[in-house]
Parts: sequence; structure tokens; C-alpha cells
Amino acid sequence: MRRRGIPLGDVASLGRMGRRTLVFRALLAVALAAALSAAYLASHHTKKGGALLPSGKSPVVAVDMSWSVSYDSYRQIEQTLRQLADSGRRIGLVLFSDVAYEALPPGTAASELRPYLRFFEKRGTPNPWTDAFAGGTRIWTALDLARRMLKRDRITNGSVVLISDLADAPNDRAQLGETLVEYVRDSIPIKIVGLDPTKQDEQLFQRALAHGGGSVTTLGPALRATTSRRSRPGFPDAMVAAAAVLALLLGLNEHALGALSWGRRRSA
Amino acid sequence: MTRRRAFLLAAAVVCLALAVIAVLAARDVGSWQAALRSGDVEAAAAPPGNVPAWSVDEVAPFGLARRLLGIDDDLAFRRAVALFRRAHTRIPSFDTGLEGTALRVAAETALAHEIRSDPTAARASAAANLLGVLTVLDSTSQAGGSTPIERGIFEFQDAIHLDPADEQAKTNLELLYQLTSLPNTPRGSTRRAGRSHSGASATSPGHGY
Repeated sequence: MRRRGIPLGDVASLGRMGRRTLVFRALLAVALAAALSAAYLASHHTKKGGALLPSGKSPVVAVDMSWSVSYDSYRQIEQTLRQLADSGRRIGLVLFSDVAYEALPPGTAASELRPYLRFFEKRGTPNPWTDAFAGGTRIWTALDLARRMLKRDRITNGSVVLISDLADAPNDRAQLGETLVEYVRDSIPIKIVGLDPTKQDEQLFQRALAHGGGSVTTLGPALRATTSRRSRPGFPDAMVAAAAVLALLLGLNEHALGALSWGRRRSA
Repeated sequence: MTRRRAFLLAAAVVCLALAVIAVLAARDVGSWQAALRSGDVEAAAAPPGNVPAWSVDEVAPFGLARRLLGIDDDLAFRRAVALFRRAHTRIPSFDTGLEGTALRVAAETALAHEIRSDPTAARASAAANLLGVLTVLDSTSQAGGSTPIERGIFEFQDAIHLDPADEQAKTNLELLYQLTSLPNTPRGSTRRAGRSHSGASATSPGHGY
């Protein structure tokens, strides 16, 4: 329904400017929508970076079952697994000590982790792998198996979450280096949840992951809050830039396309 | 104030802000030049344990100067080589100790990242060559005896594939072939007879790959 107005005699002469304004308005609307989306995505990405599971990836979770994992850490593992089980994501699961075992293939619903929680409620609870695991910690075996699982299932955007006290056998450092090199080659990020590791062990993995796209998050002994130890938390450049563009476009909109306002008649 | 005048004023403010950012970025560019030069000198002169920072406290926002210069790959290569030097001190007690092996793991991942991401073939090849050296050390040291020496061969071949002019990688590959060849093969007998000259084979070094 057309709005009523005062008919103009020379409306045809304004047609060109009207069309130009319409195009400008449409372009500005698209740009505003794009900037708003970019700002939202950037803020979303920043928020998800702190989550346990890397966003947009198909993760394999590797859990350390060795004897070096302390009583406190068992409760931390249980809490972490419960958090993962509630995530609604699809994951794979590797349990390891001095050998690694594929418990759940990649793509399994995370809720399937719940039956495993009972083994971590209390240290010493008998589990089906007690006889198979000798008790040592060989992290490279878990990382190697997780990488092979991702490769076998042709998962191109995979990632690995390692939950361990990082008390790796020093004699296995060469194999660990070899395995981490393969991760860099295949661009598979590793996120490590360290269960109260020693400073040396934590530093080893922080240094190694500094070049391969990974991070180390440490859980303290008394179930204290998660502390991210990433050396330099990234400044949200993209979000700031998107917000600046958004503000600029809004200003431009107000300036160029704001409603006409008639000036007040000056008093004589 | 008319609309046009307000618009011009806003444009002038924007231009002024851009000019300030440009000045700050120019200052940062100069700082980067100096930091790279002094870092390189420090890396060449300092003992292997020291790693120069090659860093600048940038004033311009968003690391503008670093991005404009496109030096991220240069910095990554320098840091990877510095890590290699730290990890390979030729002091057996250090290289096979806890600190030495930890540094080696870090150096290996840094070099692997360099091979994967550096757009300059010669540098990627040099990184593959250094990774090959570390791999051979891993496989020959007591700490990492179960690493197959064939991985070293793969790394040197990769280096030659990345840059066919990499003479160091060719020499290292030939040496490794000699070390791993059986005594009844031409390469093995060359090694046994001690006729290998400076690491290269009987053929002209750097040819035939």
C-alpha cells in the first residue's frame, strides 16, 4: 500500500538519484550484515578456543591409565571425561599406558564415554585393561595410534586431546619426537590436559607444540580451576577489525542515509 | 556546521589517524631491520646455548609492520635453526640427557613445521637436512636406539626433493647410504676400504639423484 504524500510535479527528475540511493542502501545493508556476521564468528571462535575440545575438528581423546597417574588425577580424569561426554560431539577414545588401545573409534557419540566413567571414580577400580597395561607411560604409543586411527578413517580435520600426567619415559624421547614430527606433517593439532605434571614435563610439551599448533592446559592437584599455560594468548584481531568495520559502516549509514530533518525556524 | 564540512572534518581525522599509524609502522619496520641484523650476529657469535630473541616491541597495532614485511617465515626459520644448534651441542652427556633430548624434540617439531610451511624451497630443504641430522643422531644414540635410520634417509631425500641444489643434503645422504650398506655392495666396500673422500661417493658429489 502506497503512503500518501504531496504529489510532486518533477518526481521523474529524482528517479536517478532514488535508484542510486537504493543501490547504496542495499550495498550498505549487505556490508553491515557481513561485518556483523564476521564479528559474531570471530567472537565465537575466540570463545571456543578455550574449550576442551577443539572446535570444528574430529577429536580423538587419549587417556593415560599408567600407575604414575595419582589418586587426585583420577578424579580429574573422571571430571574431564564427564565434561566430554556431555559435549554432544563425536569422538574417538584411546586408553594407554606402555601400550595403547583403541577403545572407541573416531566418530563415536561422546555420550558413549559414560560407561567408562566408573573406572575413574576411584583409583584401583578393576578395569578390563589392568592385565594388558604394565603401568609405564609411553605417550608416543597413544599419539601414534590416535594419528593412525584418524588416517585409517580418512578424517582430514582431526585433532587429538591427550589427558596425561606427562611423566613420559626419557628413553622414548626419540620416538616421541618422531611422532610429533608426523603430527606437524599431517597438521593435526594436539591439545594436552596435563594432570599435575612436573615443570620439566610440561615445558617439554609446550616447547614441542609451540611449532605444531597445539596447547597445554594444566590441571592442578586439588581440582583447582583449569589454567591455560599458552605462552601468548592471541589478541582477537579479527573481532576488533570486524567491530571497527561495523562501527564505520553504521556511521556511514547514519551520515549518508539518515532521515531528513528539517531545521528549526530561527527566531527573529 | 554544514554537512559537507562535518564530512571533511571526519575524513581529516581518519587521515590523521592513518598517518600516525603509518609513522608508527615505519618506526617498527626500522626496529625489525635492526633486530634481525643484531639477532643474526648474536646467533653466529654466541655459544649454542643462547637463542637470540629476534623480537621487537611493536608500537603500531596488530603487528602491522611484521605483517607488511612478511617476515614470519624468516623468523620461524631462524628460530628453528637456533633450536637445532641448542639441541645438537656435540657434547654427548648433554645431547643424550634430559635437557638435550627435550630440546631435540622441540627442534624436530620446529624444523618439521618449517619444512611444511616455508615457501622458500632452499630454506625448507635446509630444514629437512637438519631434521635428517637429528634423526640420524636419534637412531645412533643410546637414548633413541629404536628409531630407524631409514628415517634419516627419508629426510635427506626429502631435502633433495625440495631443493635439488642442496649439496649438503646430497653429501649427508651419500654418507648415510655408505653407513647402512652391506659390506658386499659397492657402497659398503667403499666404506670398508676407507676410500670415501670427504663424505661423497666415487661419483661427482651432488649428481645422480
